[in-house]
Amino acid sequence: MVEEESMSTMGKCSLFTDIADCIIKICKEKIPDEGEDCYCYSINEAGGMIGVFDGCGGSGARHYVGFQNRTGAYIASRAVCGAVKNWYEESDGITSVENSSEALKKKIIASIQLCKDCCGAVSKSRIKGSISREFPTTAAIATCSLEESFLRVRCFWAGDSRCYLLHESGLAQLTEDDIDKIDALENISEDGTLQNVISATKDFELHVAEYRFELPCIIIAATDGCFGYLRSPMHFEHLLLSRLRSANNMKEFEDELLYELDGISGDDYTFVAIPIGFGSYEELQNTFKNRLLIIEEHMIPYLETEAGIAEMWTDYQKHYYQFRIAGETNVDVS
Amino acid sequence: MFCKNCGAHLNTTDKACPNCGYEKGLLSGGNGFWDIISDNSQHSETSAVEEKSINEYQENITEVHTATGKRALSVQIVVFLVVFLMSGYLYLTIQKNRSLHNEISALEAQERSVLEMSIENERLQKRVSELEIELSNLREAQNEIEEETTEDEIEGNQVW
Repeated sequence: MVEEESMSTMGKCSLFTDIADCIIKICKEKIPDEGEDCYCYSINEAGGMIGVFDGCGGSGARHYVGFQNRTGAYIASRAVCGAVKNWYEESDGITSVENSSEALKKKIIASIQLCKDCCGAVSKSRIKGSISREFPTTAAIATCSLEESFLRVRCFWAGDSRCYLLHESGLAQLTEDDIDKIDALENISEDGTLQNVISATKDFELHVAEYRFELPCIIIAATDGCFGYLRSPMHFEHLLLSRLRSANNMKEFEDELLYELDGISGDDYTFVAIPIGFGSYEELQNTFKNRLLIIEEHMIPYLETEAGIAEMWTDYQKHYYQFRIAGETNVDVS
Repeated sequence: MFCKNCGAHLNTTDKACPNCGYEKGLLSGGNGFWDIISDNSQHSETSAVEEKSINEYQENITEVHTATGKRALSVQIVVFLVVFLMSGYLYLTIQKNRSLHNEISALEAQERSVLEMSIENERLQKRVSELEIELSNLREAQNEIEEETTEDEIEGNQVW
């Protein structure tokens, strides 16, 4: 009965703004006023979008005279962020995955090219080499829309910034890092090399994947400063759920998460999320109460040692990576 | 949507929570550069952080265009000056090389002249030596003739 009522209520709420609960956004710069992370979000009646962007070091560390001596990474993350936001707000209705991704990639390329044309000479650079990327940045974008009683989510990404689904059954990664042959746990200890990022001087792949999820759930986009300094993906899920439990409202959750990440992260970090379909903060806490208990009783005690983490990871990744291959389409726009 | 501070229900059009007054925030935002390839601004309100990014980008794009123009002119002037100075330096160098070449040629001519004079001098000295030898021979011959004449005169006197 409750399910039927819920479904009929959901059917009446065809507007996304009716079921989107709020926007969670955290963006912290390691060096004030020089942060190379960026984020954007947009919610309307048709759907919602969140995106995070992480300007890359290396050739992204070049400073440009024509842009107040800002780094290429700083400029790139903000330019691509703006392009994504424009793309989402200018798009009309629901289009196919390929058309949507093609339009987004063109918009991104145009913005990056404009940066390259406008920014002028490099003021100082110790980076040499003919195959370096100019204006490099990662991107992880998730768009959401209602499809009957389900949530349709499209993820677009390049690099090692991630989109997640946080459901009552647990945390799942919706994107796959562009780091060759390294999984989420290995990437924490080995810090693999990025194989694919958005840039102005080298072609890139904009990966896309589409999913359908049951409500309620939380869609998350985060840069690696959020999860890359924790010991495992299990620790990241525990961090999120434990702060959800301890906070009295969403504002406190943001503050507590910011405080925790401040003590852990060694980089800029950006975290944007949309809880969808919960209705209230209490309902959100109740939804994840059991999952947090499972983590605290059956996982945390074993995560003290590296061997324990590795053993736990073997089981954990079955749910964490359940969306790993299914639904991915690479779009190459020439 | 619900208020992030007190959890009260919010309508889409609410700018602040009717219960606690907490600012709801925009439905659209971030800290990127907006309108980078769009002609029209999409926003009428932004938070302080977002506004900073937008203004910074717009100012920088304007500055870039102005600075680019000025910089291009400066570069042209500098290039012209450098080319001019280098041309002058090359001309002076060529001129100096020419005068040095001429001096060298004159010195070489003098050297050849000295050499020729030296050779002529040797030849003359050799000729002088030959003439001295010839003179010596002639004097010896003369002496012999004088001696014979003297002997003949003595014989003639004796006979008489």
